[in-house]
Amino acid sequence: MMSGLYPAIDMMVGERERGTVETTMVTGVSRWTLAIGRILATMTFEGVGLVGNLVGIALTASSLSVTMAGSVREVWLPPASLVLALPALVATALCVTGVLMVVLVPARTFKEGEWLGSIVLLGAIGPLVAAIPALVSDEGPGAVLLLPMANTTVVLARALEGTLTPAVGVLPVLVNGGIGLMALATAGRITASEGWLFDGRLPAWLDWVRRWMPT
Amino acid sequence: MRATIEVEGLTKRFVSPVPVTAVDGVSFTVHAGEVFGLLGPNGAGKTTTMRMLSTLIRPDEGRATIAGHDVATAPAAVRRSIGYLSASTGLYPRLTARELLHYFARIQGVADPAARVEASIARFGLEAFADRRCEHLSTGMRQKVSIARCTLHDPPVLILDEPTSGLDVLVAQTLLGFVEEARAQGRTVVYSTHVMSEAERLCDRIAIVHQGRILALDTLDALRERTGERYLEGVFIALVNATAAA
Repeated sequence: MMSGLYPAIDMMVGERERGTVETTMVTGVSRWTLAIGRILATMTFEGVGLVGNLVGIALTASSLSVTMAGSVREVWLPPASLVLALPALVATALCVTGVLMVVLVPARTFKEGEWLGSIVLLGAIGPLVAAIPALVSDEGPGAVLLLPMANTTVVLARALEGTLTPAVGVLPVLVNGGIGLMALATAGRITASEGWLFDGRLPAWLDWVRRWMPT
Repeated sequence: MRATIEVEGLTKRFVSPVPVTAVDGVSFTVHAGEVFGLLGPNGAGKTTTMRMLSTLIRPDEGRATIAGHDVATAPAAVRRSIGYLSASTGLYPRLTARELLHYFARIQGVADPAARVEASIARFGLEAFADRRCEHLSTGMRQKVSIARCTLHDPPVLILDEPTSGLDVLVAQTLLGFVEEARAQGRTVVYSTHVMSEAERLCDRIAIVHQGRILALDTLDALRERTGERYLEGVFIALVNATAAA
């Protein structure tokens, strides 16, 4: 998540702070082109971060004995697992990008963006903790696959073990991808508005959020 | 002869945080080779008017055409016809001036962008700092790069929103000279400012804007005659006072 946080802050807040939104838009680039550019750039950073982490963990763990639930498990990264995990990782990148962009909407400055982004990072701890029982159990992951981030953790763990099946891999794609698309649609609608782009005017409930942000 | 810019009843309202009519039924025309001034205090509606003309925001009422293209229905064609410069330079700090100009030339679809960028660097005297990152440029240098950026595609219409804001006298003079040169080349210029001396020097006609409305629109001489004031500052105050009293 960290890999996409700063690009997201820069694209959501930095462009307005620098005034480059205005100079770019007046060249003829549409608002939706700009929005899609922001999404793709943030997703790229997220995706590279996720795959990099996966490969890093695999390389580290392959030379170690990893103990899970009292038993030693083989950890490696078979190419087939990586291919199976990839759609879930892309969906997770979409989900994190969408959530970050929605959360960053009220930010007026880079500092406010960092503050709001840190809430997302802290909020991710919950799903990661919720994933632990599924990681140490030999039974199926069950309902955890419906929880974003937790389901990604399960997919990554199964991929490293070489036990990832299409059945486990597909649900995170649907859940995370669906949440990501909804979040991006919300963020896109607000960030394409004249108020947000030029004067920072927001709907009343978002303006209320600003009152309580450290500046 | 048809005007290059035709504005009729242009209105823009904002609803948040408090309902306000930022621009209220503004109408004017500007012809080729004319510098048209929008003169008014901060918050008068100058920037909102210019943003509507440059298609950045949509008018709530009224219509405006630039070079025959409607800002609401043909924004892409309008953008190809205009160069827009605002007080905030809007440069990417980590790009050099040359890289920045290349970037904008490419997204503007300029034919042979490399040659165009080099010509622009030479024209605006950017050679000494063309390879310096924008974050290391002075305010004046940045504004010069901004002028080069907004004229890369050789637009017939220039919309300049308080372009000398924050500039020292020497750089401001360079910019004013550029506007005079643009007029001599037959370009249409809309120039907003709250600096009376700039308006006196540059503008062929001046619209005095206050609280979203045009209080008066004429040549400087006609405005002087109408108010009996010699200086534009006096003209402006007389018009505002007359409106307040009415």
